[in-house]
Amino acid sequence: MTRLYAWMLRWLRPDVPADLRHEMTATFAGVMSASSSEGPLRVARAAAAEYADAALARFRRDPLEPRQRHPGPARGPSFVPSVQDWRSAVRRAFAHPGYAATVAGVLALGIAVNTIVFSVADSTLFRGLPYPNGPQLIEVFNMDPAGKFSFPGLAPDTFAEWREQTDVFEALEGWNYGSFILLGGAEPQRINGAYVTPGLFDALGVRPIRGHGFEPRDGEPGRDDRVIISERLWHQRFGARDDAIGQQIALNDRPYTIVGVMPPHFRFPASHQLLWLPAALEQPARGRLQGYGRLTRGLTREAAQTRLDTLAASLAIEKPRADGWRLKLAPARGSVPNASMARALQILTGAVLIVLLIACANLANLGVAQALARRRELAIRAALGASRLRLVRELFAEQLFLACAGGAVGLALAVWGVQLAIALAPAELTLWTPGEIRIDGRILAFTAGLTLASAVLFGIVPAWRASRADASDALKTRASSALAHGRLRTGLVIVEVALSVVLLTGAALLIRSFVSLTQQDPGFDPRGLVTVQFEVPADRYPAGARRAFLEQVAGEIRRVPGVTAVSIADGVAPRGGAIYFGQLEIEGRARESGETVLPATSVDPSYLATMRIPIIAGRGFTSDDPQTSAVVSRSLAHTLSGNAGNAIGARFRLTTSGAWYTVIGVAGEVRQSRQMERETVYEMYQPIWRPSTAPAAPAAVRASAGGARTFVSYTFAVRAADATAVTTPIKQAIWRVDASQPVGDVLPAEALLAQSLSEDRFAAALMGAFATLALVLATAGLFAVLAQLVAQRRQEIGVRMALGASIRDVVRLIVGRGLAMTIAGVAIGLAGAWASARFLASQLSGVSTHDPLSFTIVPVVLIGVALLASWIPARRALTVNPVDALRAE
Amino acid sequence: MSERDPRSFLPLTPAVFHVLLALASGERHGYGIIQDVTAATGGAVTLRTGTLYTILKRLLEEALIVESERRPGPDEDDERRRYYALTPLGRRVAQTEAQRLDQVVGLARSRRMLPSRGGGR
Repeated sequence: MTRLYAWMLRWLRPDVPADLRHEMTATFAGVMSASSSEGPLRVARAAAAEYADAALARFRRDPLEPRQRHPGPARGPSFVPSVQDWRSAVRRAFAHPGYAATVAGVLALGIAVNTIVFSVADSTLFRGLPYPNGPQLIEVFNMDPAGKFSFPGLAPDTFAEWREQTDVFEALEGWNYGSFILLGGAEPQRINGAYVTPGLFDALGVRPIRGHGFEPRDGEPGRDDRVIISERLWHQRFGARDDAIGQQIALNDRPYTIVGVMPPHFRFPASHQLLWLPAALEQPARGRLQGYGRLTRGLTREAAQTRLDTLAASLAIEKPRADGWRLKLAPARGSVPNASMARALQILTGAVLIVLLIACANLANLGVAQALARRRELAIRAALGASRLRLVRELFAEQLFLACAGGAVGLALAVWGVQLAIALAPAELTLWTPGEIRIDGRILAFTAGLTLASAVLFGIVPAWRASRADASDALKTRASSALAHGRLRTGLVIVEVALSVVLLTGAALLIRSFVSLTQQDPGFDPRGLVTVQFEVPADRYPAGARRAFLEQVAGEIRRVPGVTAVSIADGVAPRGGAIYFGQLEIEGRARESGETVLPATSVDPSYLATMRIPIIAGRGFTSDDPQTSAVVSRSLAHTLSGNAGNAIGARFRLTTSGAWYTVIGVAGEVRQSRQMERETVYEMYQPIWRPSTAPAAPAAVRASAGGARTFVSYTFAVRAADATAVTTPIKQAIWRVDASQPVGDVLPAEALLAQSLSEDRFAAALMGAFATLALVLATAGLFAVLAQLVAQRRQEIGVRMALGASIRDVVRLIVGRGLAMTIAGVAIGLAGAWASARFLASQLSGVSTHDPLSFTIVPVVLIGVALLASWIPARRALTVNPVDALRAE
Repeated sequence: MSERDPRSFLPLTPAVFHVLLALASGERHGYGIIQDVTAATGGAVTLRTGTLYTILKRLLEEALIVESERRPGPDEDDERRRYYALTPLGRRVAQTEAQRLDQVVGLARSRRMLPSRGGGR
């Protein structure tokens, strides 16, 4: 305690000479030791009082001149406020709590919302990799021999070859996804991990917090049974105990020894990787490795690329490969959320900037109002000899004090708000964020700087102008004063209203779109439907044994009380199965030129009935249908042959897969995920099993949406009387068949549908919140201007009433002024909203960018709110007693 | 150098007055002053270190007190500690303030704000 006191004195009391500080510290120690017998609470209180006293004593008045103002040391002209300026600033702030609270509140809100949104956007979209070596890292991609497109994943043999090129790469490391079943917990857990080359973490510059990293030969046979776990898993499984190092965990039925624990917030490559295994290049079974590296010192990326191109050309002659040797270097930036999420974030960033602008306009408005109110006081003080510099210093101190108070509250709100935003954000947003989402100092400095600057600038400039006014003028002029200021303030209010119209319209469009999405028919009956995500380890249940296993599980689920039907598929919309790409070729017709995206779900014969997806034409599958038969959506049927009925028997294929499909039925449209919806309108179904009668046929090459290497994804669609009641019994039914089989999400379909809209909900909710904030700020601005107007024109109103003006006339004067400003703002704002609505186009569904309802409701709401905001000042004007008003004159 | 009129310092703040009174009975170091003031007022007045040294600094500047050269016995002395003593001016200022307060108290008594001296007890 005493050391803290000494330390505090040194920093806060440079005015006290060192020897006196020692003396004070000794005295403090004496006081504290005397109070130490009085209980901890008293000691703490005494200590707090002592600390505060030491920090503040220099600002006290001269103890020997208690009645006089502190004359202060003689000083040259300076903009730096003196202690006395600060004192009077603080006093003034407490004397005008309304003004002070409004300025500080507007600042706090402006700083908080901007910091929150910019921090989230920056963490997820813009910030580089959060590893110590992040800036020097490059990502290494393959390029096809023609140099047209690049793709990740270097074959292990080329990887080894490139590693030799040490004049280009100082380090070249790689990684690949891995999926595992982790046993030993409450239930078998399917977890994600990654295989990494032993030197990868060193290349990133990240070291384990417990244990050690991989050693150079780890991953080779005999040294491949080691694992580094994430801090999260360490907490979950080992309670963060140090003895976790050296313990074994069972992954995919094999024991692995824990050698290290990575630091918190270490995410590689994404947040759901819970552990890392060593990958050796000599083990090609690990598959292609995605390359991460550091260039040799002094080599630019461009120079390295040129060098690699030359090397690739000579290697292609030396050791020809079908996929060539070309590489592409890119700055490593980790993965980013999908394009639509990124777009949504950009829109929100724009929205929050508008809120910031409105906040600044509001501060300007308040500053002008305050200056106007203090015009007389300032003019008189100037006339009595106060220097203008002194007056401005005082105002500066006052604004700065309010700004700091607002900034502190804003910072606290931002810290809390970022946590809230993470909690509310869709998983897609945070999954790929390489680091922790946190408040960025630069962003905080920017928003705080901007709002502080506007608070100070708009607080001082008008006051400076006011103080210049001739005292006699300032004292004489009343009703007619400050016309110029009035124009400025009117302009500011119009700008605020216009900007909030833009935001409100955007919010209305997003909310309408979200509502329309929730009301859309999903194409199947989600009530009483449960989906069970299920990943079967391919090694334990190879292709031949899988069907028997799955049907056994389905049979067990069917026995759960309340379950009426169970079907097997490789996915259920909106989390579909596979996605086919390629040019669509229809038998008897020319190939279509563009790329077609075709979501395809492999289903068992009962699937369409279980889901209650209507068959429009033809029939559903039987167990005898070959895997080349297809049920297509109505949209695909239309493309194939003009209408649903004619499509039966039509044959089509995608050029990349090769297999020809024959249409046996046409089904109703099923809603796809939001992202897939933007890509395509088509859907198809195909049998999941080969017909029992047919011999083995080559399966089509499919691009699985899941991407798991050693797991095959299936989904059970389960019909039950009560969807929420059967989720636990379903899991137990699965474990009765295989106790080590992990079960993924068991979700009522309605929850799954809601989840698929989480992005839209997030964007609509945030936009709605910002628009509301904008509306409140703009209304406050309008209200302030009108209230000031009434205060300024009290006498005039009194005279008018004395001369026989009716209540209507007075109300019309005030409300008319408010309405005029609002209508001007609304008109400008609507034009702006109309023009900027196209930025929202990609986010909207079921509502046009120029939705008439949104563009009508917003002006109505704004004008309504404006009328309310005008009504209160108007009523105040009506209470003016003509006699009092005239007497004051 | 002519001495300043003691009356020009009046009225003293309670804290300053208590510091002067504490030094009236002999020289003390900073913590000694705090102890004395607390004891003399029964805890009603608690001086804080920062305030005390601000007051001491001003009192030194106005020559109402001086730093004492003398030290108590070496066993109870701490080399960091300075001792302060009243100057004749300081003593006069404290006396003048006491007289002023006495007059005020007398006035209060005559207006029956306090029980009169000798009676009441």
